[in-house]
Amino acid sequence: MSRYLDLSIKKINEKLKNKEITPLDLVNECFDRIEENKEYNAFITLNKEEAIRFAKSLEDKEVDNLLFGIPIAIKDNIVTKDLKTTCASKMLSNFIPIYDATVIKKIKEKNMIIVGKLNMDEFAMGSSNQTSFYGPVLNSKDKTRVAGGSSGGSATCVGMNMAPLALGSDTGGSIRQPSAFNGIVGLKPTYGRVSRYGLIAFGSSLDQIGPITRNVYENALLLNVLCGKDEKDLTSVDTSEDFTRLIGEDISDMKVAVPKFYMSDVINPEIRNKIEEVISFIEKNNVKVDYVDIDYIEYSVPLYQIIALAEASSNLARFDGVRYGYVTDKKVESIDDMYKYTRKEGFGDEVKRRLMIGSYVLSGKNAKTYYYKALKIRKSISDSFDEILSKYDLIIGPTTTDFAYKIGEGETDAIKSFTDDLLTIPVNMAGLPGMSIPVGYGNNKLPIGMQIIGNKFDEAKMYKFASYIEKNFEGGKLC
Amino acid sequence: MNELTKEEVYHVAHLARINVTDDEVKKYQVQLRQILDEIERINEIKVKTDEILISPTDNKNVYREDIGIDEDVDIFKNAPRKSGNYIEIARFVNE
Amino acid sequence: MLKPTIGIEVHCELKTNSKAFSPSSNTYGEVPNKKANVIDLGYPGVLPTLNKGLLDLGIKCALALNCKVTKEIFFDRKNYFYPDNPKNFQITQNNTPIGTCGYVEIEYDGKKKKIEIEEIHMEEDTCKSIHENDYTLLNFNRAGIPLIEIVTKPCIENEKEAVLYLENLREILLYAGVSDVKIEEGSMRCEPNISLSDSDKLGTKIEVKNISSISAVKESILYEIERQTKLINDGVKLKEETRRWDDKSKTTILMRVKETGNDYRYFPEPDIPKVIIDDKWIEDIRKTIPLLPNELRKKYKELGINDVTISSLIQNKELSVVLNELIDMNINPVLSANILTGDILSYLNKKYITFKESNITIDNIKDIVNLLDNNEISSKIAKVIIAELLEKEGDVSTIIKDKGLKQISNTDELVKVIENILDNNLKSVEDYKNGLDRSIKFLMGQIMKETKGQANPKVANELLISELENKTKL
Repeated sequence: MSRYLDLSIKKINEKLKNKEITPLDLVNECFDRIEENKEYNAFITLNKEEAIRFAKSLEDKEVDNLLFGIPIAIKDNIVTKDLKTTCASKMLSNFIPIYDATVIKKIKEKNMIIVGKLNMDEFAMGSSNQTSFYGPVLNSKDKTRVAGGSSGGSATCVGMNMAPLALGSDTGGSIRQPSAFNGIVGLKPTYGRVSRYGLIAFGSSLDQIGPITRNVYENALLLNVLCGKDEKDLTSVDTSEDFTRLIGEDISDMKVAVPKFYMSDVINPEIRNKIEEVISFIEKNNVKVDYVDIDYIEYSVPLYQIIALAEASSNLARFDGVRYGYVTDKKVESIDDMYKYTRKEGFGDEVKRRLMIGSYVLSGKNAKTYYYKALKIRKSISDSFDEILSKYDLIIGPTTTDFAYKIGEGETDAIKSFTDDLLTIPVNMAGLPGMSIPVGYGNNKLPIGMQIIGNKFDEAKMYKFASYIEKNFEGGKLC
Repeated sequence: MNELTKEEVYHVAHLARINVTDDEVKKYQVQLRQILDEIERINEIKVKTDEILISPTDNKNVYREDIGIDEDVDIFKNAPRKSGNYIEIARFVNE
Repeated sequence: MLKPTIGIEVHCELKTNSKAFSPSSNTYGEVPNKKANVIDLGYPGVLPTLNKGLLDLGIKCALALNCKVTKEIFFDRKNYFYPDNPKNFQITQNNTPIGTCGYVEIEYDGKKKKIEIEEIHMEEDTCKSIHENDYTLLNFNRAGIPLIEIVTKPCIENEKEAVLYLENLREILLYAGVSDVKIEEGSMRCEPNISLSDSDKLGTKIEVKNISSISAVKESILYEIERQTKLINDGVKLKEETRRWDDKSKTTILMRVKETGNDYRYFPEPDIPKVIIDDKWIEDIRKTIPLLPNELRKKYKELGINDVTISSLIQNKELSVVLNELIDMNINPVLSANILTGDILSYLNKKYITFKESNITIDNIKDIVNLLDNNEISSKIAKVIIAELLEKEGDVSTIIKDKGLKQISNTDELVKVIENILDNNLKSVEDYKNGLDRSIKFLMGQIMKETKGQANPKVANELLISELENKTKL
């Protein structure tokens, strides 16, 4: 078997340009790798036939961009025309989209090759990829452990290099947390940076699609393709720029803030130590680092439970067995029973719990006590971030409080799936860009992710910083 | 904190249109309570602002011109039941 | 003594080209499900877009109903499961209605009253369900068509006020050009709520839906007052409920008992960024609002048009628009109004066509009125010309020429006719001498008969009197 996919995208691109290899070689290798690692359960649906057809059709075409002919895998909550899109739910296990998400159109325009749809937590609800109707995804570094979630399939796919690039989505940490657990690079872009049109909504005011890749540079390359204003998403923003442009520049004289809460005793000490190593390293490189307070950051879990689940209860109401998706076989007496059995049978436990909580916090007087109060706290958190980011270039800290855990652990705990996202949620609340990069391993040989948070639309600066760490921080080198 | 009452569970399950059996209600009484305990932590906070943040977008006044555009899409492709030019559902009495 | 208090919610479809939150076209009566896209069906992954036409008409509606326009608005989601509600939530306005604190003025028993409007909001329509025996068919063409909801305060005291309010509201919305307001076709829907109380505290609110005419609103209110009065007198404690008007039995039927107040779990729509409406936007819209019925009535009255003609004009918006154009061209308003609401209106009504669809043109009317105004034709000839033009396109001067209808103002010609008539009606001449004025009327009639109505009445009258004076002197 050829090993072209171990090369950097730049190298692959040269080989494609030289006609040393063809897109079909890449696609074939990609499917070999997927087949080889089937037990990891990273994919729900493969797009083999179409990918091969498309790769062949590219042979006569000019290699006109760096991502031309590169295989990419897509999280299964991003709709792909004529390619089954399930959200890892029984509810959509037979759903064939009739349109392409905006990001899919952009990927196709660059002649990238979609190889399949990736496993995930059902409707992106979970942080260990154990809520999937299609079963858990195994961690690429230790197959007894969870891949993280909800973009677990994306992270394991890239972590195993089944495909070099993947799309994930992040509502409270669903790109960054599994990226940290798998030792790869994942970015949740600024809210509005990437069109959400075609992303099956979970928490509309929190969701963003983002790139999951093997390294920082390739992450920036993929964001170049994904970003931009879309008239179909009113919250999207016109921001075309080259995100690789600052990569390689020096980071001295940057100012970085570390939230005290991110270094408190809720974090596994080994992870905390690793982040402290990074801090001393950058300080030696003339980066000014201060410890700061961010208001209410410790309340991010309840905030998320209220806002994300309220929005989800409304967004997922459309799955009712009328226009698409699963419908109950039961003989029912009323339309309400049709809905209730369809949704009971079509949704898994985590989703049902979350939909009930979401309905609860909006119902009657609760809207004021919970929902509107949460929106006020959200405003305060956002203001607090704005203030810090007006004085500092970036905020850093750990991505997760702990290492990837054993599969099956915490499955009966209704809270675990939320607390995993403690450090990533605040970023979604404020709509900021957040990124996880690998900075080393624990004694257990499991990867540790560092989170980098930037000001709105400041991804280029984050990539510069991340790339510097990637290149120069010794503790981050593979063991 | 006390468990949710059975009625409360039935009520939220109805709002979310999810059928629950009596056994499931017992399970949800505990699980939902666990989550609500977490949620109720926000009661500790005295917020400084009355402003709400609905969405982090800074966009405003984003609209399109009033021009009708019709696409020819097979909107029935995924419909469980269809009839001629329509999507069909069973008719229930008492509605 | 139990006193009724009535509030009314009205929904009107707005006359935009495209839907509220998707670009599908807003059309009525097309092939089922051909004007519906993935957004209208609430497909997974879709997002709403916002139609500027909806905002413009929303502002226009607020202004026409004397509302304060809300300067910063957003949309909300109203969550409820129903097969005609594709996403199982409706995008509407709950927190920031586009207009508040407006009114519609009605006149009743000689007094004026302002029916207060609490608020108006913009929202999307549901899809249309067609119920068959054991299944229901869904047509998504209607899903997402923009609606405006107009909610009054509970300030209507009886069915007469309710009817007047609805008639005036309908006229205003029609004249402002925001909606077709066709109740029968469902582009305007009225839902009154009625409560009875013997104190200042409002009684239990009963809502009535499914009403398809203004007269049914009246009937349903009267029915509810009677029904509730009887129950209250029997000591029954009423519950808030929604009832359906049944046009066949002329009764209301219970639909569903309302669950605890806020079951709709409203919350702000995160997919549509807020909209700031500045003064310029409001003023630009204000400029596009034509004179509304009450202003028109006043204007017509000042121009000397009589009340019957005025109400006929207001009821026929198209003719009122034609009249306004004629007035702008400095054409005699009274003559124009009379012509439009006379033979022309009855012809249009008889043929079920609009003015635009008929053969007669504004220019035709302008010519006819000018001729009448200058006494160049008599009203009788005008009638003949109009009848001709309604049947077949044409030109006034050509018709006059072809049919020889030109008025005779030529003195010599008329004097000849008059002398001849006087010679043959010596009795009348004698009467005139004795001071009997009615003889003039008779003689004028004879002149018109002789000239087939073509005699210029003013000139003929003057000539007749001078001829009679001559004869008397002799």
